[in-house]
Amino acid sequence: MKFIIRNGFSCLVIFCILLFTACKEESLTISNDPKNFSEIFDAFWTDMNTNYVYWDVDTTDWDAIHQKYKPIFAQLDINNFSDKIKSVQYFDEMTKDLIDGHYHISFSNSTISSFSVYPSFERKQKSANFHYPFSYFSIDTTYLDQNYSLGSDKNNSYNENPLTVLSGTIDEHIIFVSCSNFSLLKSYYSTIPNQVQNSLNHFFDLLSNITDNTKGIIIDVRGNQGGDIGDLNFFIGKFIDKPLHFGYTQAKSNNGRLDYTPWIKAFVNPEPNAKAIKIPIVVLADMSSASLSEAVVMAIKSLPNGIFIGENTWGATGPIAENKVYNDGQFIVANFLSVLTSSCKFKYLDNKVYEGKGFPPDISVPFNSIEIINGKDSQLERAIEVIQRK
Amino acid sequence: MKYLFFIFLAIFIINLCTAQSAIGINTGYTYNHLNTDISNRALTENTNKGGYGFGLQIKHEIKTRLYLQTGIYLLQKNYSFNRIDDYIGIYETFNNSYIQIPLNIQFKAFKIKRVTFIISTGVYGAYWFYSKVYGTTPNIFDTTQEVGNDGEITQNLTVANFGEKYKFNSLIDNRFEYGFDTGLQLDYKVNSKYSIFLDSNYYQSLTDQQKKYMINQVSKTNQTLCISIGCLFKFSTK
Repeated sequence: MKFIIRNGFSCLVIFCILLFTACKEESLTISNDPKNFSEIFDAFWTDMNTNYVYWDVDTTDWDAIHQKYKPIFAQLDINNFSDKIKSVQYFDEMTKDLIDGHYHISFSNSTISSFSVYPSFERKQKSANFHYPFSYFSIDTTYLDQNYSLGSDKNNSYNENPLTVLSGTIDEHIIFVSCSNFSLLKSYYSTIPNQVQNSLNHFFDLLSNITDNTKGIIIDVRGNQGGDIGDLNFFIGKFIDKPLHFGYTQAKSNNGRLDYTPWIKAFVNPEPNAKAIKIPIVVLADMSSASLSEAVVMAIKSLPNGIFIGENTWGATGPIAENKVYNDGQFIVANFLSVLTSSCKFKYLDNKVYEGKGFPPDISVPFNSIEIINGKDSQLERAIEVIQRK
Repeated sequence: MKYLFFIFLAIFIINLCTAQSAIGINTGYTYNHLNTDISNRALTENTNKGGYGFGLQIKHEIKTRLYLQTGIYLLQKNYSFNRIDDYIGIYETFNNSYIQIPLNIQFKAFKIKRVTFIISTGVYGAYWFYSKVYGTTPNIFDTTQEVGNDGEITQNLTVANFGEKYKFNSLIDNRFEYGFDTGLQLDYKVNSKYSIFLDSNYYQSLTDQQKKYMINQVSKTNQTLCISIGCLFKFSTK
């Protein structure tokens, strides 16, 4: 104590020196132009750490990945072709358990540009009930009344398949609509006339002329892998007359792996002059229904008259936006790879995140290839049966 | 740092029984900067925020020009991340409330008539007891569309407001904070018992606001300026 009293002023000086020398900051160090595999790994690991939105629900131990793969990447030579192939294998191993259904790595480096990493697809392929997307248009037209409208827009393609829309009625009292993917707005407002406009107008006419004899509506998004988010209002907005709350989104808020914004309500907004549809609305979806198709399924399920029939959806429920919108999601490691990943987590009204698992149907009707070969669509038949019973 | 704080606390308590003392209250304004790295986050600024502070302070004269000073303070250490350019209007603000105990040595530098100039330095310990987060964010599932004459579609994201009590996460939030404290005080002696003062203190946290829960973690530390006014009542415990 005496020491402090005798040396009071000296103590003050020492504390001041300590104060101004103690401010240490640990900062982010990401190379914008990685020159070797060690820098590529650091950039990839750090960008994943800050941009991936599912860390709080994903079981992948990202620190363990760092400890295991950092020394492995340090051994690779960026100028060696076989090392580049090995790196693809390592990226595949590191990300194989990520739950994000959108997650996809494409390689921009010319020698490995034919390779890609798609964890959710690899997992689905191994599942017992896996099937590739199937186009039901040719079968489903046999269930429709003669005045159906089937139209495509060859100027608006997804995975090299033109957008196709089928609309019509079943037994004159059930309205049916189906689309191959969601870029309806683009075709509908295109200045180049296309058949999708006819098919959509046919569907909108049927909707606006619902009578007491109309028993229900079937929306078919089987095999539909999503698309433009604007289609959600354009399409589902025809069924509602006030904003429809169907879930919540959450984005990253800072660089910490577990830094998140609060949950924000997700809405579908009604289209101008839309009326609330009170009759049963059945949505058909299957394991290939992904992304915006899953948003459509969950929006329909949020309606008191909505029913979901088919299979568990893909499980890519998080929306995609440019990285700068939320400062998270998709990113690029310069001159080597680009990562597509969700910009937000999505949870349904029941507070559950269905990413990676898929949204479950109310009535499960599995894909049956044998029946399909014989021209029978048991999922559609079940939807018709449910509506007729209501 | 934690041990240094408790050593000073013990010295202070020993002195409490034998010294001439003063007790006072003060209130004022805090201005906080979160020292962290957000250089990778596009169109985002780390913005300092103001807040409030209240305090009950006790000081003991241990020699003619030397005091030990402590107290209990309620301080806000607020900060905000604001988007700029195309994203202006989007922000996230954290209002963080701390209960803080400083342990300072005060040195009476000089005196002009009734005004005494005091410099102080020391350590503090604080507990982060409440936090509120509020702001606005793009809402990707609440959009409007505009269709141009050429059929081009422009998608506009609406902005959602949020505001809620922050739910502390025991895995990541480090609610105990320790650091250095330095300040200047102008003390105006009203009479032999009472004085009023203007106090300015700078608090430099030495602890990260987050526990170490991941590799390559970017640190977050508070740097807080507090300016307050108050009054002191002098009494003797001898």
